[in-house]
Amino acid sequence: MKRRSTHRTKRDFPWLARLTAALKTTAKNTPPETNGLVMEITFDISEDELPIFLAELDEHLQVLDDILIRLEREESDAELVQTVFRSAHTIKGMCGMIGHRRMTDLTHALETVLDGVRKNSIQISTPLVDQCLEAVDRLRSLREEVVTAQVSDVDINGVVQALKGFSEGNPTTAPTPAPAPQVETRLEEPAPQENQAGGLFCVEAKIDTGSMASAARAFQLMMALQGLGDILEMAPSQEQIEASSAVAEFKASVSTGETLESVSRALMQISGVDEISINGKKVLFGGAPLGESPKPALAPQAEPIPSPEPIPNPQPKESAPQAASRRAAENGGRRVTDLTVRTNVERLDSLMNLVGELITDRNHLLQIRSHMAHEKRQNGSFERLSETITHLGRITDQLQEEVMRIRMLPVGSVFSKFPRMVRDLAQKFGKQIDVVIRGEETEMDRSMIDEINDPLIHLIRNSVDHGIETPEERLSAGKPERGTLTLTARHEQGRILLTVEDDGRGIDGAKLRKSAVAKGLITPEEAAALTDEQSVDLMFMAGLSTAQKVTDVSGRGVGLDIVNTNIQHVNGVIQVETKLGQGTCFQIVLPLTLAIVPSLLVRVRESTFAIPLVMVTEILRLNKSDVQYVYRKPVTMLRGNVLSLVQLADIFKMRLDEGKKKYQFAVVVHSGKQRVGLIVDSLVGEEEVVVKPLGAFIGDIPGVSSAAILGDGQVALIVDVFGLFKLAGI
Amino acid sequence: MAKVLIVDDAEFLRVRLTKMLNTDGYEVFQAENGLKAVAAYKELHPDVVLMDVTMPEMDGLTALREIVGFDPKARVVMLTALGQESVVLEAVKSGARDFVVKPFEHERVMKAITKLLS
Repeated sequence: MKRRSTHRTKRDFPWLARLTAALKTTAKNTPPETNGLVMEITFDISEDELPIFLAELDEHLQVLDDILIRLEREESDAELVQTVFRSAHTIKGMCGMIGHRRMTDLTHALETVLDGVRKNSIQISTPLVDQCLEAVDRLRSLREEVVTAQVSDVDINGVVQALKGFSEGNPTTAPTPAPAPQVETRLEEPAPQENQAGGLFCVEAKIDTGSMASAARAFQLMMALQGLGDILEMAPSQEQIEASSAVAEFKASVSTGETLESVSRALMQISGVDEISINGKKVLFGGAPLGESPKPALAPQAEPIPSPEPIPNPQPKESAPQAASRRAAENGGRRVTDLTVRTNVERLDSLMNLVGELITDRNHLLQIRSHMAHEKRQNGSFERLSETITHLGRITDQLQEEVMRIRMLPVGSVFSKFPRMVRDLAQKFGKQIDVVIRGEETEMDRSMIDEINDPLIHLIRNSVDHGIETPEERLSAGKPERGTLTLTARHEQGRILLTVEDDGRGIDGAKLRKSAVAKGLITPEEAAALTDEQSVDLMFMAGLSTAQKVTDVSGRGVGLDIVNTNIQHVNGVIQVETKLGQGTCFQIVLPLTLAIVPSLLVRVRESTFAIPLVMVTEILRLNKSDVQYVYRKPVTMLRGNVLSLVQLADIFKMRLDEGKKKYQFAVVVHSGKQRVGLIVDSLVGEEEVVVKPLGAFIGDIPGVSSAAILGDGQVALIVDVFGLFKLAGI
Repeated sequence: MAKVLIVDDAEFLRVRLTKMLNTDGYEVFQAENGLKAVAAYKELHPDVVLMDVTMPEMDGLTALREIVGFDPKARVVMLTALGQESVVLEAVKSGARDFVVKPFEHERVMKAITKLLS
């Protein structure tokens, strides 16, 4: 979403600036009555800062979600509490900087509660976590205001009050500033000796108590004076300063060898001081204070005040920056800045596109080389060209790998929101579920991460709703009261394996068969032919749901078939394993990226097709005698099992070469537990093909997912194996 | 050109401050936690350090003490939030030369820096 640039508009229309300013003030406190009008709201944030702000905000909101849930479940861990507090604190600071008042107030309330937890004055409880999570949700909604620059009707007062209820139960946690203690000024002022300092200065300072930590300012004054000489008398005393939160007045007499000028200069460096007078004369800020060199210090020594800190030197040192810049130059100007760059995803996409083009060219070059190698007219330049092509190929491979690595995100970025989701769902269904996550550091292409999000949500909802039983059911089945949902991710053989596993009741194959027959999805004969194991795959059929009642979470008969479709869409495979009474495990196998697909190239008549390798289990060489017919459909025996065969030429309605029709190769592909052999004329080889969408002009072709340009410049269609299963009626 | 080291775990704040300081002609360096700040200080000897308090790895107070221990003349300005009064006093005791309360105005930060550099 593009953000409106308010700056130019405001400059062009002064009245608009006033209006937005007025709205800003209103919006800061309570959401105004919108009356159907869209209210604009301006925050102090520029276009280039916005993505950083949002990404960082999301990160911290996620931390809040995560840790709050963990704290609710586990023993409270000091480090966790510290982290969650820090996140709330950081969000508060960020929202304060852009001037989002409601977000700041809400996080302040949250931070206060978490501070109480940190200091053990507030106990973690489910109602507390509920309120905190509610606050996180509201913050997420308010975040949208920053994106859209429009006021939403998100109300924070209820949550803020509820949070305050928790923190005010413990007065120690409320950060109300303690009232300023009565500081007695029992200082005997030494006789002012105009222009005759004698090394003795009497300093009086008025500190702005409206500002924060005025006591610290007093402390700064004290330290500055200690740095100049010896403090003879001081009010309030150091102990009083340390014990109080606000100090309005500071008085001290100091004996020093410094001039009046350097004393006043030292004092003027301290911020938050309204007024300073030395020896009864006001020191003018910014102006040169009056004064003459005082005589050397007279007899000082009152009670010695410990001065552990070295004297701050107000003089700018000349050498340090020079030395530093020399050092920086020696280090090649190395900066300590973050060595990461945030960049637009679109740039990565276009980079990936370019790499794709490069791969296509490399493949082309390799082909030209092999053609030339067959020709006899070779000479030295062929050798050199060949070497160059090999080198180019290697570099292209590395480049592709690097670009892909840049696009990788840890799968944890998807997984991390599930504990919260499961908690909320479990609460709704009266279930108790622990979420276990493994392999969250496994990296995936970011486009893939977007694609698997919805399927995972479906699978998890399904497990919570149908898989895991209620505590009572579990106990009576001899299982632990709390169910466990395990999410894992790992790399395996250039693929990504994701699993969603629960220890629930499992899936009843017989019930699925019955249901499928009842709904007319399969015939009773077909049902009878299915084993329990095969029946489980029925649940990926559209229109099948065994749920007793329709819930708003899952069970509308849509869901698993959509999951299946979505995963197939990204050339992935989903499989399910289940044991009645013990649990269910969904396994999703995905390619590493969507942009480049390692494929098996095959020829059918004059056309080349690419079959994604992730789908291919094996390749068979078939003689005519290997093929038998069952109900006029070709099959073959593969290790004692019947394997259906499908003529690709048939499927794509290509001219059949009846004359020398012979089965040569069958590429065995799988979908779930189903396998089929695709009969092709010949095998071309393996190639990493760069996926090109077919485009709206051609549209969807059943059985074809997209196209690829091959090394020889030919276009190959990429086979959509699942579509093919449907087309072939398997 | 004076060097300023910005230490804050929030990237947004680092970016915001960097912009402010760049506009005013300072050379800006960043560190995202206390640990990195100490290392950066030793390497770069910045003229001023703007130091957040609440950070992972090493908090601002600890980093302040380490920096002042290494260079007693270090000019460290603490970036604090409301509710951190006690920390501020602690910081001043440990050698912080000033503190700025978040959310801060451009002017306030600049004043703190120019004051320390004068």
